[in-house]
Amino acid sequence: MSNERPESVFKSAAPIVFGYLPVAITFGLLANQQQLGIALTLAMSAFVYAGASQFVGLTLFATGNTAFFTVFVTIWLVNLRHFILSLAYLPQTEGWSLAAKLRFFPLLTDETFAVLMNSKKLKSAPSGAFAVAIISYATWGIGSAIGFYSGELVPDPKKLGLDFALTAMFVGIIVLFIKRRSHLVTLVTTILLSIIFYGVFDAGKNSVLIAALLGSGLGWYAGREKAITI
Amino acid sequence: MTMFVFAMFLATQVSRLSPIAFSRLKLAKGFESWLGHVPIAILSALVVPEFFYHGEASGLQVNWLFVAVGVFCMGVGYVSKNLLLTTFAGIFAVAVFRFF
Repeated sequence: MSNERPESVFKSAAPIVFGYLPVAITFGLLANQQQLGIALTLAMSAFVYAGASQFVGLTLFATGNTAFFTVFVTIWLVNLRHFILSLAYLPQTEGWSLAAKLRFFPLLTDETFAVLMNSKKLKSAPSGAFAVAIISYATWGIGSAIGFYSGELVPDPKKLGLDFALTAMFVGIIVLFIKRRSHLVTLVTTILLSIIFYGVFDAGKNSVLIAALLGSGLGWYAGREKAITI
Repeated sequence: MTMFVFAMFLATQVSRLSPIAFSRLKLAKGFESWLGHVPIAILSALVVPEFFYHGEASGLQVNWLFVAVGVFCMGVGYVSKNLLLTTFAGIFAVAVFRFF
């Protein structure tokens, strides 16, 4: 049981804590600005617990796209990569009980995955891995609350440029996702198609989902031969 | 609004939990590569409408301030690889433009 000592848990979780706090605070701030309310803000952080998805959720909420099917499909697509993460993590959980798996996998994120996979001591230890996951989860919730209540202190969000915050955040996430030339193909084609569907034909926000499917398909097609890293 | 959060909850947990059920499955490489392109596509498709607004006249207008700052944010993100810095650079740039 020496592989689950508290110091190695805290050492592993520390970068996640410092990484999550500012993002969670930003989420809380934006949620407040979109008039989501504290209950819904915390419910999102507690039940959804996925950065990009929650920011997309805010956009859907702000634009009135709250139909069950639209929300489900959009968030499912945004979060589809968690499927890959779970699948890739699965071999580490070979000897775990089903209960241990069922409490760990709902808390799997990009960051907990990355940190745990780099920790020989913790990745296959049910309670050690869960401890890192739960610390990250708590940080996310606490940060969201801090962000929401600091949002109360801002008098005129538009004057401070806060109406651009969500867009800036999205641009940042997109840039960080781009690792290959075929990713760039996806970016450019999706933007062009969205401008045509939304900007030129004014076909509404749901038409952008079609642009996204086409764009991801074209990027995949462009990159199928070899993975060119940029 | 409970249903709104519930739809999101369902969507994220389906992805996280379903692999437990078929532990022995191996994904086709092509499918995996396509999945790598999906987040970029969805996020850029969602962000494009943010650069338009409904003006007084009929039809959509381009918000050129947002376009300019958006390009600036891409540069900041590319150089810094820092999400929070990119977000605040964007907010700050818009605030500065509006101030003058």
